[in-house]
This record gives sequence, C-alpha cells and structure tokens, in this order.
Amino acid sequence: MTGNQQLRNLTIAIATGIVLAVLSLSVLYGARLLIRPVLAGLLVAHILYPVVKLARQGGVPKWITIIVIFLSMVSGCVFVVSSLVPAIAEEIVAFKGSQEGMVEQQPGLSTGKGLVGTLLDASPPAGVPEEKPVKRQPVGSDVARSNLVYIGEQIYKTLERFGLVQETETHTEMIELVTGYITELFTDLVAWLGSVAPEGGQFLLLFFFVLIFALLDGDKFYKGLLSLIPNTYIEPGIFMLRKTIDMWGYYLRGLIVENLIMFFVSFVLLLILKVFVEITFIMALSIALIIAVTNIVRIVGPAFGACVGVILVLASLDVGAVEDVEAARRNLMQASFGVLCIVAFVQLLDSVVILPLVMRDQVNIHPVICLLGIFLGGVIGGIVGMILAVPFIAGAKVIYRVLTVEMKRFDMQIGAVPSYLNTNIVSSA
Amino acid sequence: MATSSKFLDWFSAAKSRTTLRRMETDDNFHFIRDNYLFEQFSPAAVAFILSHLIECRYSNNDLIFKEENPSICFFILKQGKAEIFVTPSPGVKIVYETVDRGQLFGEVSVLSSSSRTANARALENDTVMLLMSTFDLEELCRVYPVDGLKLLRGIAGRITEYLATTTRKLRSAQAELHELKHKLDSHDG
Repeated sequence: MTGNQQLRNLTIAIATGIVLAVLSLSVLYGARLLIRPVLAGLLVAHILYPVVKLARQGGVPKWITIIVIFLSMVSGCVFVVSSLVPAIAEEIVAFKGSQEGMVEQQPGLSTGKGLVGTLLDASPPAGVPEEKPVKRQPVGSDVARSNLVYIGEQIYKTLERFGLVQETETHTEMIELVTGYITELFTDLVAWLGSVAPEGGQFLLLFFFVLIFALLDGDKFYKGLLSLIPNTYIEPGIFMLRKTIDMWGYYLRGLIVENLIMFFVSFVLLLILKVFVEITFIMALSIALIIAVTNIVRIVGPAFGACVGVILVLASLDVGAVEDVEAARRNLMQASFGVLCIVAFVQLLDSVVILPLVMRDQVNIHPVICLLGIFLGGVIGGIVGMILAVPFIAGAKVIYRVLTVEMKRFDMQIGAVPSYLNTNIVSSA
Repeated sequence: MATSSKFLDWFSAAKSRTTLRRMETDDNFHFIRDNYLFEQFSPAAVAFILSHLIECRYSNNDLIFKEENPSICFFILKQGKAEIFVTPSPGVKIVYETVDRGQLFGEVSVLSSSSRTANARALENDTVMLLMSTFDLEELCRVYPVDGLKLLRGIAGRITEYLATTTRKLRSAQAELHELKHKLDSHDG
C-alpha cells in the first residue's frame, strides 16, 4: 500500500468516525427524553442486582425482593415529595416572592437580561427620564433577598474594617444586584421545576418499568450481551464483560456508600449545629440530602450543594415574624457559616477518609474529563444527565482499563487453526 | 416445632418439584442431568447451572481456546467433536485427546486459575459447546457448597484419571526406553 493510499484510508476512517460520532450524539440528543429514564433504570438495576441475587441465594424469590425494592423506592419518593420538597419549595417560593418584589424595585432584573444586561442598561439613554425604583414595604416573601443583602453588607463592612475595600455609594446597589441575580437564578429553577413536573412523572414511570424488568431478567441481559461476542473470542469476551461489570459495580456501589456516609455525617453535624443556631429538623435533613446528592456530580456538585444549602438557610428566617431582627440575623449568619463549614469539612473528610476507604480500587477520573462529561451530560440529559455523567464516565474508564491492562494477558490472534496443523500430525498422546 | 419442620420439608420438596418442572422445558436440562458430573445435583443447583451455562456453536477447525491464554471457562461438548492439542514447534502438532459428546475439558487450568496448557479446536461443523465460567463456578461453590463440592470432586476425579493415564504412559515409555537402551548396549557390545 502506498503512502497516498494509507493517507486516504486514514482520512476516510477519521471522517467516518466523526460522522458516526455526530450522528450518535444527535440520536442521543433526539431521544434524550427516552434515554434518561432507561439509562437511570439500568444503572440502578446494575447497582441493586447483587441484592436480588443475594436474597435469591437465601431462598427469597426474585419477585419478592423486587417488590420490596420497588416499595422502598416509592416510599422514599413519597417521603421526599411530601416532606422535603414542600419544605424546600417554601423557601424557594420566598425567592420567587422576593423576585416579584424586585420587579417593583429594579425593573431590569426580571426581564431576562440577567446581571450583565442590567449593568449595561444601568444608565438610561439621554432624553429618557430615569425610572425611579418603587419603594415598597417589606413583606414575608422578601425575606431571602433581604437576608442575602444583610449578609452581603456585613461582609462588605468587615472587608472595609480591614481596609480591603473603600466605601462607595454604589456598594449597596451592587450587593442588591448580585443578590438579585442569585434570586433570579432560583426563580428560573422554580420555573424549571414547574415545567419538568409532568416530565418527572413520565420519567419515574419509565424508570421503574426498566428497573423492574432489568432486575427480573438480569441474567438474560448478561446472556444477551454474551451472545453478541463471536464464539472464537468468547473466553476473552466473558473475561472482559465480567471484569467490566464487576469493577463498574464496585465503583457504583462505592459511590452510593460514599454518599450515604456523607449524608449521615452532614446530617449529624447539622443536628449538632442545630443546638447552637436555629435551623429546623427538616431543613437539616434537606441540606444533608442536597450535600449528598450533589456530591455525585463531582467538582461542581459540592459547590452547588453548598450554595443551595446556604440559600435555604438564608431563606428560612422571616424578619417580619421575629421581634429582635438583629439577633435573628446574627443567628442566620452563624447558621450560614456553619453550613459552609460543614460542607467544607465533609468534602475534606470525603477526600481524605471516605473515598480511599470505600473505593480501594479507585477509578480515577481526570477533572477535565469529568467537567467535560458533566457538561455533555447536562446538554443531553439536563440535571439527570449531569448526575448520570460521572457513573458513565467511570464505566468508560473501566472498559478502557480492562482493554488496556487486563486484556493484555490474552493473545487475541485466535480464530481458524492454521492449515499446516491438519496435516503434520507428529504424535497422538 | 415438629409441624413447622414438616411444613418446611414439604415446602422444600414442593419447591424442588416446581423447579424441576420448570427446567424440563430447557433444551440442556436432560443433557446436564445425564452428565455424570451433575447427576447428583439438587434441583436448585441444576437450575443455577442451566441459567449460567453459555451455549456456543463452532464450525470445523475453529479454535476454541489457545495455549497460554488465561483460562476463563470449562467446556462440555454437547454436539460434534473437538480435539485438544499442542504445537511444540511450527508445523508440529501433538494431539492429546479427542473429545466426544458429553465430555468435559478445559477444567484443569480453570481450577488452578493458570494459563491454558493446550489448544482446542472443533473437528466438525455445528460443534456445540456448553461453557461455564470460573466466575460462575466460584458463585456455585459459594451459593450451593454441597453441589459445588460434588462438581469439584468430579473434576478432581478426572484430573486423577489424567494423572493415572499419564503415569501409566510414562512408565511404559520408560520401560520401552530402558529396553531400547538395553538393546542398543547389547548391539554395541
């Protein structure tokens, strides 16, 4: 083969690869509504299948274990929807209320222009009379934003005391603008939650459907995968598949254990914090759950969890309902600081103790790959895609590791026996 | 107490009957049940084996496994013929054994988790093998230890048989060699 032919073949191969990758991604994107619950169902089934197997070994029929799993998961969903969601929603509604309040004060903020748009539009064009912010009385729903402003002012004052910033006339406006932006984000989140609620129902329906059938026919799934392997490669194929399934299973179950430990540690620490500052039990439970769930999305997840936790705490104090507003706000600052410290401590504990203990044979994912995967998962599958991204990157990493390390033990040049072996029989043992 | 024990016995027997009835529809059930390695197995263990066996079809001359590759499965020949051989040097083949229907092979290196000591190939078209992986064998021993022990005993029996045959062959070869040496010495003398 000449150099030109080789180059042409390589170019064709690369072009075909790119076209196939683009096609696969567009198919994935097009079918994302269907793919998300199916993938989530298969993933959870893969995590829970050992439980079904273990119960079957103990003499418990498969269908009984599956019913127990199904009922536990449904009860968990019902508990979250009936107890935690209303508590969180109540706080988020406060943001929504504050956002509405802000419309009256700063009209630019709720027009979808965001922080930058608002800053650009800060000075009105010549000839147009400046729109005066409308003063309004503080209402209960304006709590979160005013609390944020208060904390912002406190931080600003502290920085000013140390000479790190100079007092300007616009600092209060800037703080209001930033806090307004945060509340705007949460308003979008509320709107998104409202829009995905029916979709969530469909998701859960399909998710449970896939989960139950994957748990029922786990062996058939495995055999189906094996039937795809050519017979001559069956031994390396079984080895690769089992190694991948086992390693990925260890990783996923490790991930679950890791986040469960994080949930319990954060919950206990939040209960301890509850002794010193005023936060409710449900709030502590919600924040612990948020810290654990967001930790699945590596790198960005913990920061997001910390923000949500702090904002939930900030929104929990209604200044209109307390007599000593200053004392209440001091408590609020302590609580926010406490939540931040807990998140930082739990993250440190995770990196230093939990991860090395739980995931002895770790699947290390490079942060850049992780971020790219989370971004791609977000584009394809939204928040669910972001949560699923890390386990699937780990799956790909496991396959790569099995192929490049474990499979080296095999001589893959197998197939038909060379013809000389049919004739020159030297000896028959 | 006695009533509950009787009930448990009755329940266990009924469960076994149901399991056996359900398995009878499986193509491999009678084949497995008639194999000397599995004939003493409990219905639950047979059900386990049936659900974990993998069926593979080979064409004539297809290589089933290759020398020096890691051992992952042992094979039971369901249909057709196969041979076990080594190639000590290019163009040279030594056939160890020709495997017939119902025979087990490839089990020695699976037990010792070592590499394959020989090659195996199909000798007929439509040669059907039933495979059981070392992962499933370990699981069988964990879940059904009594049946696992029976299987291991059966395999150990086969290994002992191999060893006895090899020892016999070695002795006769030694005797032949000794005789030849004696003849050579007397010829030289």
